[in-house]
Amino acid sequence: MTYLPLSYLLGSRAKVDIIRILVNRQNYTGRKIAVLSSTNPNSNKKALDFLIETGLVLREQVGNAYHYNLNDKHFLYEPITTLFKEEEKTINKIMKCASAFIEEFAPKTLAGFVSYLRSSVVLTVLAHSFPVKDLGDYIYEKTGFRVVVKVIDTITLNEKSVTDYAEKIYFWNNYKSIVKMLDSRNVVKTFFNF
Amino acid sequence: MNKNINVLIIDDEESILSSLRRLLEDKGYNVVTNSDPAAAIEYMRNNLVHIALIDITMPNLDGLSVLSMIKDVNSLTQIIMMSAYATTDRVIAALENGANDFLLKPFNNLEHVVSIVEESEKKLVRWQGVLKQLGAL
Repeated sequence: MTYLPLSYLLGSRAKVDIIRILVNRQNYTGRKIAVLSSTNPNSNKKALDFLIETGLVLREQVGNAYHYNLNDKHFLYEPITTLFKEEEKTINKIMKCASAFIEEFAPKTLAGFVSYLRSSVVLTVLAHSFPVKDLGDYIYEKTGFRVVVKVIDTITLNEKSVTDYAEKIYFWNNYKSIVKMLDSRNVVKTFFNF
Repeated sequence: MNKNINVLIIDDEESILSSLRRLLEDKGYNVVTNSDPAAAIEYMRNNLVHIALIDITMPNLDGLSVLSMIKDVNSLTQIIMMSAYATTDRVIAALENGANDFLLKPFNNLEHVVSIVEESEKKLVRWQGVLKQLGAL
């Protein structure tokens, strides 16, 4: 088996997260990249050093700090930036679609979140009596993508779901850079402001 | 110490309203009482209620209907039903319709009432934490 460059470049979550961050914004310090990707400083440094060695990432000293950028002369710059921009575009499309559905068909929904469980997109809504299947079908019809829809029922708010979500949040926190808020109504913000 | 948690008590017995009000205010809750269920629901439309204690048997409006109306106004409000004549069917019906807990009257042990209200408060605090982490607050 011959390992082509992408196998090395995308070979770990730390490297993938660094590239994703640098695609969206250049000139970050190593510390900022570590915070954004929720990676421990040592793994972050190791991944950055590796990416510099490949030539895809450039390091520049600015004052006392190092700033990192993607190298737009690298032969994989175009395909890699396109890949991550497409990922972002797809997620935004799903979020927009979910917001439109909630607005039209489930306006009493109090909040919504987008997260990822491995390679699946998970939409979680805080609502009572939410049309789960309809949302899944609507998104599939509009975008061609299947998503997982989860509901936190406002009536029960039961202990089991607290445990379930606490576990998932722990998971999500490790992937903070890719968890997004879909929507949060004022009613939920006001209610829990005690 | 004030807890910033608003409690609404709906019961047609004035003595229950005053004793529960005193008890819960002493524990730091903001308490509003009402003997008229329709007026209480109207109050909820304009005011934030975190926990509601509702008598299941009232002359003007059945407690289960009040429960469903309250959930319609704000589904996040935690509901504790109260009754002197609780049959199993009524308790199950209340819990199935979104009640979070049940208190049997007369209240021989007032500390038990407080602990049931505090359980609802704890649940809300847990969810506050969950929603904060999710970025909803």
